[in-house]
Amino acid sequence: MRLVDLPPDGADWITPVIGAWAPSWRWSTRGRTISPDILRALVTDKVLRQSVVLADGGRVALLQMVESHSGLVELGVLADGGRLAEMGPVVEEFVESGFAELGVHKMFVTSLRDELDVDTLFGPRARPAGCLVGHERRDEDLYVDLLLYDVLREGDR
Amino acid sequence: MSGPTPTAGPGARTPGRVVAGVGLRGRRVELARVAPSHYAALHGIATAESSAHLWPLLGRPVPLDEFGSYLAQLAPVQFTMLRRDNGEPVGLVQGIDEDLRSRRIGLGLVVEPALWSSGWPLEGVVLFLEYLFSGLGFRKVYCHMPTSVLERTGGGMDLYLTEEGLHRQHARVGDAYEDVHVLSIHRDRWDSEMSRRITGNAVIRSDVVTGDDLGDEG
Repeated sequence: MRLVDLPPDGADWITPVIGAWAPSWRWSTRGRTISPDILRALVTDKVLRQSVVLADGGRVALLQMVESHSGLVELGVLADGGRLAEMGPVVEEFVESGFAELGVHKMFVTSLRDELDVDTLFGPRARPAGCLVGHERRDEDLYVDLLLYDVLREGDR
Repeated sequence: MSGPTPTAGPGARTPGRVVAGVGLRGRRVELARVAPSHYAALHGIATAESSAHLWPLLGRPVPLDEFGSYLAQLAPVQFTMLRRDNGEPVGLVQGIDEDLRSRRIGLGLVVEPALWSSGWPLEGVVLFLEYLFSGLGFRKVYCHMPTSVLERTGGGMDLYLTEEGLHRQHARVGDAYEDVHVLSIHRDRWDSEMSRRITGNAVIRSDVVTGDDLGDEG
């Protein structure tokens, strides 16, 4: 697997995989219809870095670093859920190069419990920071937890 | 919709009786719709050095003439907290990042720095939470607080707050990083009666006309 840039006009492939691939909170549809305007915003607004993961000639993930409040950086992920276990080295490369380039002291990623397996994708780099119980409604009596993770520099783990 | 029409009888509206609802006026604090006349005072409070890290304004200086637009963009529901003895703004409460499907919303809060330790401005927060839960029907309210801010509340909200997350060394405050607590208040733990007693809005049950009373006519 390897990382390549997402060209400015090269986001059309994302639409069909939204709702099918495993998303972090940023890419979770949460009942919304993702319009072209929303998609454009998701790949441009406050995006500090982003890369596409390629494997076997095809795309298997989009990884992002996004400016959040108070100078923090959120990691955005939209990934083929069946390939997460193979992505460890390229995710590590993406995160470490981001720390080096952006100069931030930590990042964070959040995910609904049943949408993205953060532990598999980030390994020990992601440290659990909490669980927001019953955060997202799925059905009248079914609410899903939101999991919080801090993502640390190599030396801070 | 159809139903019984209240006329004479035990459930009919009687002049002078109190209709149940969510009060926006407490003993020392009143919530008022954010108005242009509040902007200068609120801008001063929000940009004070000791309160800037409590609020999303951190790192994003907003000129006074753009402040009203900034507030409107930031939150769909917000009130100025006015002190009742002189009508001056002492802070701002906001509902941010609302999710109507899951019925949850974030709480934004700015308080005049000199009044933080006095405790009484938190009455405005109690009024606002009652408004969010009972008035607007939200199920869960979240807030993020650095440790130093949480300590300043003096435990006044501990009865209702549940810590669901802790981001270590997360927010830059001065020259250092502080832990940030992710706190929630769930409607199931919120005691409307107690909140109304705290804010002086409790009413004697026999003086209240409720929907049930109006529907008892049949």
